[in-house]
Amino acid sequence: MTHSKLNTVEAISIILSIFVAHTLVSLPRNLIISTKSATIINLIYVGFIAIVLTILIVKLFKNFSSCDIIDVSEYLGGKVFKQIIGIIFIFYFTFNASILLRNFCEYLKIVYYPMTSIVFILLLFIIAVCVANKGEFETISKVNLIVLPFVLITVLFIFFANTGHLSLENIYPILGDGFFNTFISGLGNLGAFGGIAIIYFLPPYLNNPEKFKKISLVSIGISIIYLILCIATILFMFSSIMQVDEIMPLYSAARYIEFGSFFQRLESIFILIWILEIVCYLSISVRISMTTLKKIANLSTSKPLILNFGLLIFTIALLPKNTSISIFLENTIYKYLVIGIVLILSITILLLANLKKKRLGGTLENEKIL
Amino acid sequence: MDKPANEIVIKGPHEAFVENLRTNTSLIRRIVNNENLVIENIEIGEITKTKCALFYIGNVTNSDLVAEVKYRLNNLSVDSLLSAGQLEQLISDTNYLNVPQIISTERPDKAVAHLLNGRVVVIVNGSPYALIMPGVLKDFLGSPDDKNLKGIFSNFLKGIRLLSAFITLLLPGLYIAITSFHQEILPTELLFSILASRQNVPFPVILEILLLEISFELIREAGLRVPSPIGPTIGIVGALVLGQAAVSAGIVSPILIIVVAITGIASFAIPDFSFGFHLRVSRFIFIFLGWICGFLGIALGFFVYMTLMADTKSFGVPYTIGITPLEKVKGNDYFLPPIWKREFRATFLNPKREKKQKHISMNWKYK
Amino acid sequence: MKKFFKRLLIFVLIIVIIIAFSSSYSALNIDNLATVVALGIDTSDTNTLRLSFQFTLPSSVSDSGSSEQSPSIIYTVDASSISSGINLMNTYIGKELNLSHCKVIAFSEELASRGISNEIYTLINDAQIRPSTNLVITKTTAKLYIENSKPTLENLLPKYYEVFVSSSKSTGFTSNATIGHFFNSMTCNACDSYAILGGISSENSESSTDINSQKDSSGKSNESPLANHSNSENTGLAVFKSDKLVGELNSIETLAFLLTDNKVNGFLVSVPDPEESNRYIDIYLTPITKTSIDVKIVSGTPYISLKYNLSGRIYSMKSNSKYLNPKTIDKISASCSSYLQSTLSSYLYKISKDLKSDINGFGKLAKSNFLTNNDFENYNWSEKFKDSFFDISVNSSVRSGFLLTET
Repeated sequence: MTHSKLNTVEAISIILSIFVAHTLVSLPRNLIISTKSATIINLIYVGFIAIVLTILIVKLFKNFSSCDIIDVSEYLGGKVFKQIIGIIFIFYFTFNASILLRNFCEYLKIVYYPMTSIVFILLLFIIAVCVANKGEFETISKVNLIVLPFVLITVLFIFFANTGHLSLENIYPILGDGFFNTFISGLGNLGAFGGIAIIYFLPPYLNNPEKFKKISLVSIGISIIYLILCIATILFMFSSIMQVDEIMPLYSAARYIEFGSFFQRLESIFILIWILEIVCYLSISVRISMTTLKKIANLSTSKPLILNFGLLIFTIALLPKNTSISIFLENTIYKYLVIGIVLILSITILLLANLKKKRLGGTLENEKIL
Repeated sequence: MDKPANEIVIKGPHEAFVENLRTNTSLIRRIVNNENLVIENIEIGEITKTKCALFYIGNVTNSDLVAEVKYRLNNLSVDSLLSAGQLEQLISDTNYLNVPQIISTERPDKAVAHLLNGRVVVIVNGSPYALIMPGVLKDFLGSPDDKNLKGIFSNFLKGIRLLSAFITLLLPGLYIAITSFHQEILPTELLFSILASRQNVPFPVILEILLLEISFELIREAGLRVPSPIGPTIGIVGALVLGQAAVSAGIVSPILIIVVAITGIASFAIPDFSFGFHLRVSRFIFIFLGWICGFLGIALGFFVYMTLMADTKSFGVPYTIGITPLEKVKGNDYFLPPIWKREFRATFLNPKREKKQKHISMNWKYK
Repeated sequence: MKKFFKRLLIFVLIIVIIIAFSSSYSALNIDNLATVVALGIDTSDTNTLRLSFQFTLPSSVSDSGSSEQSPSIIYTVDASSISSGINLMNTYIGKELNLSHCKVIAFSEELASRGISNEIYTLINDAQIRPSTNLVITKTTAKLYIENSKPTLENLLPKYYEVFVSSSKSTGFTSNATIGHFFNSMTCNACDSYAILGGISSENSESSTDINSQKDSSGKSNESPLANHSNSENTGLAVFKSDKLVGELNSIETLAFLLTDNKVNGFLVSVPDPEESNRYIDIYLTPITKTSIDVKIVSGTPYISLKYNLSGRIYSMKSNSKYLNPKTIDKISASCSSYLQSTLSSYLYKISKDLKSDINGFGKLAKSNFLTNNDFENYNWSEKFKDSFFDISVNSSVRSGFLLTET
């Protein structure tokens, strides 16, 4: 199997990119809805849990160096089980990518292309993704590495350019909807860390696998800081975010930026950068799904699958009848998918596989999968 | 021996290759002045049997690279080879973007500088150009003068060139995208001046911009073709007739002329002719994308452009190396470090001899 | 053959995409847009709303060098809602209206006191309206206000609209009130919204000002002391309770508002001269630190303590004044502090007792006294605010004069 390898920074940027793309659309608002003014505290708490989980995942992968979750599940439950897990993950990636794309395009249509049918906006994205995926995974990760810093800069910029509009008092009441809501049912906010899903697929791609732990922890760390920054911007800016939903909260915040009378209305530049980010995200999702399918179906090459996955995402993105359904899918279903598939299911698989290995002594089998 | 006609520098030597191969080899030999310089002679073309010379430094250049270049040169079935330009196309990897992947230069000092860094140089008899391979993106934005200037100045110039590459590629596209889809980004006063300047223009922006861009290319091409004594006439006709008269006749708007002029000037700031050509042609794609769907088109187009660029390889070397961030592996940067820090040869060339100067090169200072 | 079909497919795709986007292209192209600079919303006799759109002719801008003023064109239409008004307007003028460069939205006082939440929601829902658009409540009809908004010192109308609010930073007589902020505080449960108070100054209003004051800073829009000058003006603030206009602040009250909100860089006050009765000294004050506000809930009512910290320099001079000897300067400082204290307290009690509107957003600060949202909701801040007690302390120290130190 010949993979092009990723270096440490590229790997981090890939995990981040999966994560960042969701914050651009409606993730921040979604988090704020569930924990109100206590979101920042909740995120520190949830972020801590995410770090613990990541350490756990890394530990569990230690015995399976250079294996991704598909290999591990094959080790655990044989071919059929591997295929089931593979299909679940393919579904996870394509579904999330499609719904995110759908919502992003929906907003794009509202703001800039009022007369164009959403089909064509989607189509353009799909074409770009298909062309981009013709190259190696390395190519996408390189481009992603160029795009991602700009995206992070835009978010920083939105925060600092809006300092005049921020009212820090919005952090109060400090416990939001109460202790239970913040710390127990607020655990649902773990759904924000969808980027963890990529961690399961990363090991085979890595240039130097011994840095796996560092990569995972750094990327989760950065995403927590980034998320807190996003939430802070939105929570402090819109006193009414709990009552009134504005599309793409970060975009709405960007609309307030003003430097004198000349530098106003900069949000289309942000949109320009965010389009790049979304299309990077899509490419990564498609690529991961493609290689997974290749793996579970024992194909020799994954290149011809590009068009199929492109069309699949296109079709799923067109399924929701209206925005309310797609927003529901993005907000609620996404959260449960992340918690269900990424956190519970995968960690269970890893745990069981480790147990099995311990019982078998873990010498012969290990050689076999490698 | 003559002065270089197309690659002019301020602080470098003013010496150029000539058509005679032997003169050129001696030029290089004189500068390198080392017994490890290897010159291999190859004949290409079944009829013409054109003599070509392949240069490399035996104890520096990666042998695989030399072998690959030799392999490509020896496996050409053509009747004739008349110029270095043809050879360049014959031996470079294909790519969708038509970016140049081999540096071609008329300056011996540039050729030798690359040679000493571990690249391979090929000179074709009858052609005053040396081909340097592999060429990556950052080479086409660099000028031989960069190393003669202090680091900070050459980095400033390099920054300007990177900017000019973006302007050449994107500015007309962004202009049309903004005027057609995103007028809210313009400050209100600017919007009104654009509106005012467009008031008597009968064409839509796309036609206007194509009209101007194409006439600009026409002037450039015509200026190249006319005999040099009447060269300035073209400039006068172009500037006066197209600039002034077109505006006063109300065919194009003055703001657009500014946009096209900036694009034109920026395209001249690209040191490499073929790379500048690539940008000039690609800008039409972005004009088209900006016209169809504004920033969405530009962003998606740019994404695809970047992936194609990142996917390109020249003799096995990733094309964007040094430009994509965080590939800071010894000597690969686009921006130059100060001269005492340039210890390493570019690692992507995988040279046999990694360092080109000692860790402390200025011995007189730190001894 | 396969290659041919591939090319054909690409060609067809390009054509289809061009066609699909061409409708958006023609809807958004600058050639097809009519840029609205200001929007006025009035009540109407025949229909629910009367909308006035102000345009400016681009040609006037291009005349370089000539100081010709940009002519503004105003169209008025009666409609049942804002969107249908825009729609009607599109048909009248044959171009698509574009509101993304609209600088000012003016509501008439009449409409505002009736409640404007529907209009605000509609405007915020419009992707073209900027949240940074200024919101003006006019004492006259909005149409009249817009008609009289003529740039006197600039050529460009949009520039004029951009500049007039920025004066608030140094005068403190009006505030930069944007529709985005208005919307935010309208929907927020711990604060109330405000807008700029606009009006027209005309000759007959001059007489009315004589009655109510001898000081310059007590005026508000429509009561301007400027003579022979018919123009729109923006002085004071319009105070809202949720979406209804409940009162107005005059310039000095606006100043107090801005001072409490840390939105003023420096301002001029005339304080009674401690040495000589019936004389006033003009002092230019700048805030040294941000106003510190502390909100506590004492036995169920809000107890708000505010600390202002200012430094000043004396502007007005007369012969034979010894302003700068230590004793006098302390006296002037004390006089200044007490003047400000009374001004601020009258302002604070006006908004809490009379208007019952928390435009400074003390409610947000009060939130820190509550642990959960439910507690805060149950406390019902907007009802309790009227019982607030204010503890104001002003520390203003006069430093010096400007160039003259002693006369």
